[in-house]
Amino acid sequence: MDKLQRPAKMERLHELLEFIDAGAVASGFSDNARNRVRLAAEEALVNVILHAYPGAEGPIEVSWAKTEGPGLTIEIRDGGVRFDPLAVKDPDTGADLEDRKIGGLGIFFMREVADALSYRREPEENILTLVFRER
Amino acid sequence: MDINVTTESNVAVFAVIGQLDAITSPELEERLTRWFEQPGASLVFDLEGLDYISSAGLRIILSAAKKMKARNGKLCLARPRSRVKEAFQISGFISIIPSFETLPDALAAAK
Repeated sequence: MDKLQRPAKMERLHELLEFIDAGAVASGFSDNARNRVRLAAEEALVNVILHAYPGAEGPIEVSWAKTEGPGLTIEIRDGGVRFDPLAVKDPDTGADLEDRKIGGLGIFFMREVADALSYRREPEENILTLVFRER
Repeated sequence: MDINVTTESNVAVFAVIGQLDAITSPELEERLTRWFEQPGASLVFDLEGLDYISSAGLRIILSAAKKMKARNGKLCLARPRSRVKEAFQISGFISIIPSFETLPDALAAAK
């Protein structure tokens, strides 16, 4: 697995996304699949950057591996507060304009565009795994 | 990311070029906040030059649409690229924010 660790700060977002995109390119993904990877990865990374270390700083570690398919598996680890993005409720995408809430969209997006997602908590670490296939 | 704001027969056109993500979206948010200080009631986002939008960008557009509704104004999208349109579809925004394939159609709907 290719691995990159950086401080979980917004100014590192593009660098982390480029690292992940390199994985999508290495997997031979089409532009559409690369876009899906970027979309889901951005949501996952921004969640960690904004919420993992309240009032403090900490690292984020991203790794990726090619799989058969072609496919790509990405793992995002952080040592922040326990947070399972898969446990968050979906927004109401059928609501009309006044009722539609602003929040909750990022995680929903991540779930819609990734082919598989899993979360686990190891002592002191959140680990989110995202799986993508060329479709 | 670049934002070009023009006015065409009383409709404000925000042409957004490049990518709207968590880093670039705050700039659009700021431009919109300033625009909403005036009593404008017609706004079109011209998305022909937009090649990527994440939830950060969608959130700002939704917020603008809500503000516009609150002042009985009209907000429309013009010529979103297929990938961007897909993002609007996934989020459900495509049903609550009018979207048009051409700029003239969007301008007409926003008057």
